[in-house]
Amino acid sequence: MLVFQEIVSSSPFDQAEIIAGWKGKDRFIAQAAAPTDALEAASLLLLPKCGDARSLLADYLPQPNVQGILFYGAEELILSPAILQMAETIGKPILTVPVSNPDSLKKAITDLQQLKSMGFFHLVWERSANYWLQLGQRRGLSGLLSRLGAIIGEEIHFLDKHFYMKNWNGKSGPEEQRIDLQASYYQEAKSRTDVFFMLKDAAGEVLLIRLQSEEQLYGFIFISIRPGMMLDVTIEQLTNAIPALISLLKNEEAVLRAHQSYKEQFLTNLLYNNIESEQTLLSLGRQWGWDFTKPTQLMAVRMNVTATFTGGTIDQNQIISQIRSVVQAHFHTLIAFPIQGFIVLIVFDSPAITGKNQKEYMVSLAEKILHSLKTTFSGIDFQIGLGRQHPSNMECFRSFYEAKVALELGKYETKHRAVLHFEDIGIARLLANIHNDILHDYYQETLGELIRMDQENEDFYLDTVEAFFTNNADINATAEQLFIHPNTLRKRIKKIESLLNVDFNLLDDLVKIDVAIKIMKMLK
Amino acid sequence: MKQLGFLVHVEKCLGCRSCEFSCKNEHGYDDTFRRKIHDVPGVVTAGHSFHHFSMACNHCQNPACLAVCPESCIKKKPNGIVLIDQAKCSGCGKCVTACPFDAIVINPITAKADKCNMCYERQMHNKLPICVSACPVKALEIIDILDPSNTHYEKAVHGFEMKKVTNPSIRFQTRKEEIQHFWCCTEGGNHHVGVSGNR
Repeated sequence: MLVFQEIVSSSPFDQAEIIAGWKGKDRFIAQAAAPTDALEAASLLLLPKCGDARSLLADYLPQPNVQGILFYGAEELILSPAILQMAETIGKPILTVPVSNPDSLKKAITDLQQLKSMGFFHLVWERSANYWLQLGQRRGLSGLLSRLGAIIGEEIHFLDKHFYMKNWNGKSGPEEQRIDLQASYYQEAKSRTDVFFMLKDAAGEVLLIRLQSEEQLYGFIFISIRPGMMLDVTIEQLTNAIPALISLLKNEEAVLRAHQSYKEQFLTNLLYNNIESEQTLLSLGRQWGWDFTKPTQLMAVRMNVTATFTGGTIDQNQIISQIRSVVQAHFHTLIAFPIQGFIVLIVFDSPAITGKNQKEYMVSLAEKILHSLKTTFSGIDFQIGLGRQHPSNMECFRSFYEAKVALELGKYETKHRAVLHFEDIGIARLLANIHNDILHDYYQETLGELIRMDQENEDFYLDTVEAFFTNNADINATAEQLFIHPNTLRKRIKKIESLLNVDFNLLDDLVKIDVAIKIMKMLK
Repeated sequence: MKQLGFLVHVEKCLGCRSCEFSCKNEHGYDDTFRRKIHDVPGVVTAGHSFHHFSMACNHCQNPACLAVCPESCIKKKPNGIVLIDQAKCSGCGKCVTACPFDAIVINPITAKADKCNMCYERQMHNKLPICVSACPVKALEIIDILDPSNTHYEKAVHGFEMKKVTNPSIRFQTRKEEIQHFWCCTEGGNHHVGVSGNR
């Protein structure tokens, strides 16, 4: 005896369209019969799409030996809602196939019966793998999954490899993470060759299928398990559809990788002044949906792993999606991509930003991003550098350089800041372009005496003067930092002034020593 | 993305200036060199008190010259090579000041900025840069510094102060490679032959 779910897996019934009553997919049939044949055993009734047969459908459906109806022929079939409702209520499948000869259908059913009785039905299943591959080629991932879901009679859910729900059927919705399934999967997964997993979620039992080819994991699909479901037939169906699914996912990933590579190449060219003309920039940008006629702002995010980091490796994609969630509240378009160990963010101007508050707006956005990243990714130290806005987007390379320089030179700032704008790094900008030999000579000439004294007497004059400038020449704060009395510090500062032949009440002298300290930090 | 850079085998460099002169013959003009040999004091071992190495444009990962050019005529190719578009250059000299390695000069004949282009045209024809092929002791090489197999090379050389803010794409090999010693001995009429590594 065959069930409908098995029949639709074989040719020519794999072309069958399910019209109604599919909850009766588990019904057994012994033969395919025309209305003129004797309906003594459980039968699949074959009716032509044309003619009067349709009008007698209401009489045929309730007959006890009629398990389901198959319409054949090339014509279009339109059934009344009342008939469809009836088929749904009594649970008898109505199918259509674009085949004109009813005898070939009868013979196909007889062949299937024989194969099953001889124990060779696995050959039918194996052949169905080819059908799934062809269907995938013709109708893509969503076509394949919706057909598979229709045959199984359950909605198929697709998860990526991090257990985020993927909307394959065009429905919009949040891509929530199924942490419950992830946890029970890791408990159950013992071998890398296992494909099927019976897991439990809040709604009941689910069948999870791992989509893996060699070492590459593409994700998972899962279906809910209902009581009375023919699980063995469903698993056979899924087993033979999996190669087609994996092949589609492989193709999709290869296409995505190629797109990504072209996109990265374009953005790299933009950041290194490799785009020939503004026209080229505009047309290439349009290909990716970016309107480079609008002014842009650029920032670079640098990540450093601290001792408390336990995650193994930094997942840049997760960081980028976190950044997106913050930035999307402020800007419609964001380009975020990793390059040279940074994550570069390019945002397109929003009307809320005017020339005056531009810098403040961007710094405050960077602070929001930073706060969000720090809360989500503990153990990673984030810093954000911002470049200036330039008149043309062809000059993005300048902003990128400035953002990187801001990050690099921010290290020598008196006070540590995690968000650094190029305009705020001050004198370090100039120092960055002067030769190290000249810088070395300057700081040796300016602070050399203190260094010599510290080395000879194991003193800490250099630390004192450094702390004094870090605390903006505040005697009390410096004394507190160095754990000494303010009067001791005053005495020490006097001594330093005499050693260096400077007066800390004079601005020129303050600048001279401040610059020397910055150089010392840079050269170290 | 690649980042091509020069690998300098400091322990091999003789300071013969073959790289300087071959570069000058290929690209140069009177008394101006794109490539220079530096002599720096070294750690005194095995009788050497100083060493030499060759340096030109370092094709920095974060080139300062690229950002300061008012004509936007300096570009960085996807393989990391920094090039000056001679047609657009106005010869203002800002890049000369910005380069922390003195790698850019104003060509007195063309009055435009000039620097090492890692023999871009030669590389396009699958040839090595002229300085690399001219070195008699193979002290110069071109490597992709982002390749994980090249991360062990040193970023600086003892005794030579280098700016790090531009991330220069130059690497140094200062340690000598393992020398293979072949030995043979006769013991009780039997011959033994072997290979051993020694530094």
